[in-house]
Amino acid sequence: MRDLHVPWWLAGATVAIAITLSFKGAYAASLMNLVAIAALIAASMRFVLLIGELSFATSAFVGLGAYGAGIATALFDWPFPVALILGPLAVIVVSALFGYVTLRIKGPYFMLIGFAFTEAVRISFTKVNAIGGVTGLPGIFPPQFLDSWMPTFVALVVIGLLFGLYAVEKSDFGKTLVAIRDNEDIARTVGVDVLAFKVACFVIASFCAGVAGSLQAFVNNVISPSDFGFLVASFALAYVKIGGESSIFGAITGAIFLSLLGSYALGFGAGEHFIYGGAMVLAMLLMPKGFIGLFATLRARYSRPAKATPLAAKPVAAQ
Amino acid sequence: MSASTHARSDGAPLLRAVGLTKRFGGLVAVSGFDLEVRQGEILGLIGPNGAGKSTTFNLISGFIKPSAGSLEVFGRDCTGTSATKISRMGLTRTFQHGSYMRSLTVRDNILVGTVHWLSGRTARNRRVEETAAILGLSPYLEAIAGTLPHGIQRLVSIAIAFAARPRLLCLDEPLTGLNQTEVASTLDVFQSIRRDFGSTILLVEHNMKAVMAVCDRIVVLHHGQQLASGTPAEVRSNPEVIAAYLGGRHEH
Amino acid sequence: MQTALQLLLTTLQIGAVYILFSLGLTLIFGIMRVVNFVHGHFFALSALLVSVFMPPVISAGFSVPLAYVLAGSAAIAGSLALALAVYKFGLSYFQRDMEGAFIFTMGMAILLDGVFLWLFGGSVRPVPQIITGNTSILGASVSVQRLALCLIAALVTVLLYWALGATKLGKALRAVAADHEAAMLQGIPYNRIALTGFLLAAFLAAFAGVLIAPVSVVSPVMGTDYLMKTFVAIIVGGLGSVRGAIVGALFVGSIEAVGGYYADASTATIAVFVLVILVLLIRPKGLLGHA
Repeated sequence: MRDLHVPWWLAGATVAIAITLSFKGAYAASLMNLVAIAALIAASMRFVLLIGELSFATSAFVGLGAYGAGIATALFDWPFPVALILGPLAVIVVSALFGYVTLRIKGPYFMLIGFAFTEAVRISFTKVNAIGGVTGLPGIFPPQFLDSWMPTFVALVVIGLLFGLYAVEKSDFGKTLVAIRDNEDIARTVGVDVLAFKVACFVIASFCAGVAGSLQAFVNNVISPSDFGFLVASFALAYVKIGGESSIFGAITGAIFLSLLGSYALGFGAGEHFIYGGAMVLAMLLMPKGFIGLFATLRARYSRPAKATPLAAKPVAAQ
Repeated sequence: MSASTHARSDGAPLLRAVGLTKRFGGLVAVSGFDLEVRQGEILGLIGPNGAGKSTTFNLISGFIKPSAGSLEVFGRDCTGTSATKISRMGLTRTFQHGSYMRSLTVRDNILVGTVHWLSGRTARNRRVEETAAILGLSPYLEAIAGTLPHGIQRLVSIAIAFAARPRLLCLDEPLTGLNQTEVASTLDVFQSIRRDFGSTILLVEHNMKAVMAVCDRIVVLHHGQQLASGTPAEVRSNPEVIAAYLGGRHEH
Repeated sequence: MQTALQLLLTTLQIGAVYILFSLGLTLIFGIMRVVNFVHGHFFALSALLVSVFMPPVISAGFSVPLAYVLAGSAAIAGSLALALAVYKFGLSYFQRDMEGAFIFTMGMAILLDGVFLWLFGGSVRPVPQIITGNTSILGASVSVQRLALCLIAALVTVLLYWALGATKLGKALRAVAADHEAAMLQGIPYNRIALTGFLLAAFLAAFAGVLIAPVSVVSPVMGTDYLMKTFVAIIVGGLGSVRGAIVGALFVGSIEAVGGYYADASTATIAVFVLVILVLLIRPKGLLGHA
């Protein structure tokens, strides 16, 4: 079995759970939830990058997940487990259809279709009064017993899914996805159904985005269409790039760093733009391979000064 | 896999293309080209640059659709059939340039060739290692393909296509950039693929010496049409072929 | 017939600005293969500078049209300076790196949002009308100012189209956009062309900002909305294609005009997006796109 570094994952999970249990209070809780959900959306975005595509439909799927939770809870008062999974299940169906139709198209054109889809969905949300229209849908509460344990619950769900994404990436299926990104014709000539693999990748990633949305609904207790515009995917992409595209830990690191920074910056009013935008600009200029790349460069420079270590070839961005 | 798995008892050709034609706008790349590939042979397809060799390859492997003509693969009509379907029937191919996955290890590259055909980590690993051994790639399994020398990369591309254990293996200029020793060992590999696995090989090549040495039959393509076909000796002495392609030139 | 004419005029008005915007964006994409998120800010800065410079110039005794020309020139100069800075200090490092350029320019856009809000404040700034009055064309009414906007935009478009075909620079730009390696082999200085193309695109956006300042709402965040629609326009038209940019801009403009007339603005926007998806499914490289 390919080494999935399970002990490291368990250690990381333990640390994360410990953090959620040690810091109490509304502010700490909302921060931890924010970071966890951001990491999941970033990992989802990155998973689609495995086939070399930028999925701007991600925002729409986060929104669908959230509104699924919202409708089930605030409108129909269905049980929590149902409410939690309703949106993501709908996302599986929608993303499979959407992916089947649109994944024949690539690059900036696919990106724009995703973007158009997100905006069309968002605007459509504003037009449905039953779910609150522009003002949004309040009253999405998790069950009583979970109320003070939400950060821990969210952390468990998120880490579970992150590990799942990691395991899939390391599997033969994941390798085939990367092969499709690098050279789809080769995959085709050895019998791989390229479209089917792309759709499967897209559905897995979108499902995770849907779960993130569902969690977001329960954590914020109120959702509105403006929460699910193209900026969600844009920021997720920033988390991935700044953390480092080459590994899921890059997406996680970038999400942690930038969402914490964003929260910090919020306190500065107009300064928020300077801090957040400035951080993105500087990170792109100074760390083109993200934190992971920086870490790898530093390690190569300081651990083996005499020997040139061949760094793993960075996946070339799809043109 | 033994030779008997791929042998056809009725002697029918593995591939038959009749009157294959492809037009790109005003340009006719291939025009009324007939090709037959017989079970168990190593067939060479030669011709000057621009003769239509790559287009022919793309046509028979389903990557482009013919403008006219018919294609029959393993006895089934495949005119206009998609590349995925044709490969699933047992025809795999390499490409002229970069026919491998840069960012994956050699092991994972070859693995992709097995994914559709075998399931389970054990079976796939065994196929990967066996394929690598045949092509002399065992020392390179954990190296990233994009970092390797050109000759090794060429072998990787053959390994990927062969990992699928195809009935018909189509190789587009597999010997380009290889030195003499590498060429000789690669030709040996072709022979053992044919002998031990029963695969038939169709080869596009510019290396005349190698083609003459390893091929049972040669088809000469010129201006999108078949100029001649026959054994190496026949083709080598064909006056039209000499005039168009081989004549007066130093065989390299 | 009346309605159709009115809709056509509205389309041309909306489309005029989109055209100037999209020509620039598609040039940048064609040459540098990147998507430029900051483009809207060249546009917004230009409009903002017009709104800032006009009042004092008018108070100094100049006539309104002259003040407009002076303010407009200063505005374009200001936007070009910003464009040069963005290029030199960042974007030039991300050529041909679509994701990197996307994030870099997105960060830059957020940063500039902050700068503009700080410099100009968040409220809307009025710009005095330059030409007053309405006129009617074949029975449809239109303000003279908007008509002038259309005509000027059309003139600039025609000029640009001609220049790209006839001048040495234009041909070099198109050569680089079509195949940058071949162009470099021919001795065309890629870096200089990329910079020129970028500044030309910024000029078009700045010019659009000057044109639109008197007829629209000027605020520090006005660029982003236009930018989104323009991305749609250039991709529908085909990335890198000048003709495509014009077609795409008119396409988006017409849907907005028709949608806005028969329904409301947000429905029009949904219509734009749905139609974009349909167009791309049928013609995956855009209506007039090349590889």
